[in-house]
Amino acid sequence: MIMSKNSMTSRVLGVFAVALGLIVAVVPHYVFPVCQYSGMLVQTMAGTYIPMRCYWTATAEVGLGAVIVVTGLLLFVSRHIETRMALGFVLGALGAVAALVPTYLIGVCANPMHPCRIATQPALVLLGMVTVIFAIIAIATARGAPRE
Amino acid sequence: MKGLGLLQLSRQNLRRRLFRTLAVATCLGLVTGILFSESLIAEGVQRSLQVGIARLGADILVVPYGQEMPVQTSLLTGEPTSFYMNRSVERQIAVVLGVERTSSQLFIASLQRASCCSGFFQLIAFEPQSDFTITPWLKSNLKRPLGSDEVIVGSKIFTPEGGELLFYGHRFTVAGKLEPTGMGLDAAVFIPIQTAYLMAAESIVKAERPLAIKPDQISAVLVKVDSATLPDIVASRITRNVEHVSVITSVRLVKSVGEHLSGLIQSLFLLTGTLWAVSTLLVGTIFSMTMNERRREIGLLRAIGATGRFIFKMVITEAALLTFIGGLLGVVGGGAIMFSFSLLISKSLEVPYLWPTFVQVSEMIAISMAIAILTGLLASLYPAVVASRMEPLYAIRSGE
Repeated sequence: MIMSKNSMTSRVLGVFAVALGLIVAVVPHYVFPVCQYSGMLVQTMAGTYIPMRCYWTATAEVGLGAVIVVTGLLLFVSRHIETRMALGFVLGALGAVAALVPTYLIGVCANPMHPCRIATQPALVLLGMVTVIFAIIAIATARGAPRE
Repeated sequence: MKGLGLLQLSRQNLRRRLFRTLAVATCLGLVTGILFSESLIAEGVQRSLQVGIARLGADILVVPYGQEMPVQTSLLTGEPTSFYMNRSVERQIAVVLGVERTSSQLFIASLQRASCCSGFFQLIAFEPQSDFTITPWLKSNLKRPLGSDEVIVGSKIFTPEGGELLFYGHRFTVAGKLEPTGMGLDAAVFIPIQTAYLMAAESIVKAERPLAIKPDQISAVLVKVDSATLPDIVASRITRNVEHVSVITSVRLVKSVGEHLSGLIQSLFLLTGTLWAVSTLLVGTIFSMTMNERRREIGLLRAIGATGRFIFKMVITEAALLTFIGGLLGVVGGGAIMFSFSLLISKSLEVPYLWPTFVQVSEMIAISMAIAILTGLLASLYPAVVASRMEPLYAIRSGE
């Protein structure tokens, strides 16, 4: 079977999206770990220790990364232009949310010198932006594809 | 040939060989990105030192003997440190020839993981009457003297203006926040020296660990040199005339950072140079191969009236466009990474860093892009000359 150029691009973008999803899930836990992994916890008035805000961001990013992986897989196997465009929009929205979770939706620690502020947050924002760029390319190539 | 635009033709040629275009652009993007990032690091460190030293306001810093390294580390990275010497040192320095003004400061490290302290910070206590570090800022920004329980914080201290900070059991209100310098001063808390002595006296009952400072103790003497004398000369005089002190000049501080960074910058420039040479060769080879593949196309273009000059310009435009895309990729990618991770890079390299000014960044972008485009032009020069000299009939036949 000879694959059209646009279909090939869609598959390549699908592979990239899968890789991006995996990176989004892994970064806040292993590559640029959030404060929790440096033993930084918040002590409550009762004396117990609870995780900081960045920990919940890291947890949310695992879920978001997983959904990006699934979207990438669907982009890889989808043949219809409309489906590819719709998946492109979903991927773009997921990328935007991946960047917004560490900045506005959940956020990270207030201390600008904490590891989550220095490394995790910028890394997740960059990854989210790259995901959005890939999504735009996916939508643009799907729009320009001849109908099969 | 006026109907067929040179730029349009080149664009089509690049789009037709998308994989080749992307591969070459990525390779050039990598070189440009590394070069641009290096320039950003070098310029950012330089700017941070300039702004930081201007904030400090002193030409010379006199500290107890053997304390120059901890002080330098604290000034550059914000690593808290404490050390003390007798106040009489300031009087000895004030009479040294060439000294215009002096001011004492007290360096106190707050307690780590203690309920009596808001965090592990460098507290810098200053003399409001003689100070030239914070007082000029207070005059132009706060427009009133600092209250006894008020503090001014560096830009990296996350407590907002009006917020409270606790040190050694003493409660302070944040009266203002300084502009970033990229240096350790950004992570420092500035308090009036009398309050620091009071805090030390109270710490016996209020703090988890007492702060043992006597009112006749200081940590450093900041010296302003008169305009007619070089700071190095005054520094030598202080070393000769005052016992048990170490002298740090602003020039020496800049030099020490330069020495610290020189190894890294040299390795990076070596890497960029190697990558640049490889990229130039790669672009040249790819263009030579492409021209070989496109003999028939070039022959046909010549046959329908394209001059050798037009073919030459076509190849050169193609190369310039390709390298422009690569350069743009590198500048955007390198810039995004540097902008996002500047704090991490500064912390890992243990150097101060402040994002360069708009003009400086624009200059660096222009230089990086110019280097990228020049690389393309240089690499495609030979293939362009060969292609422009092809005989139409020979080119069509050999390309079949």
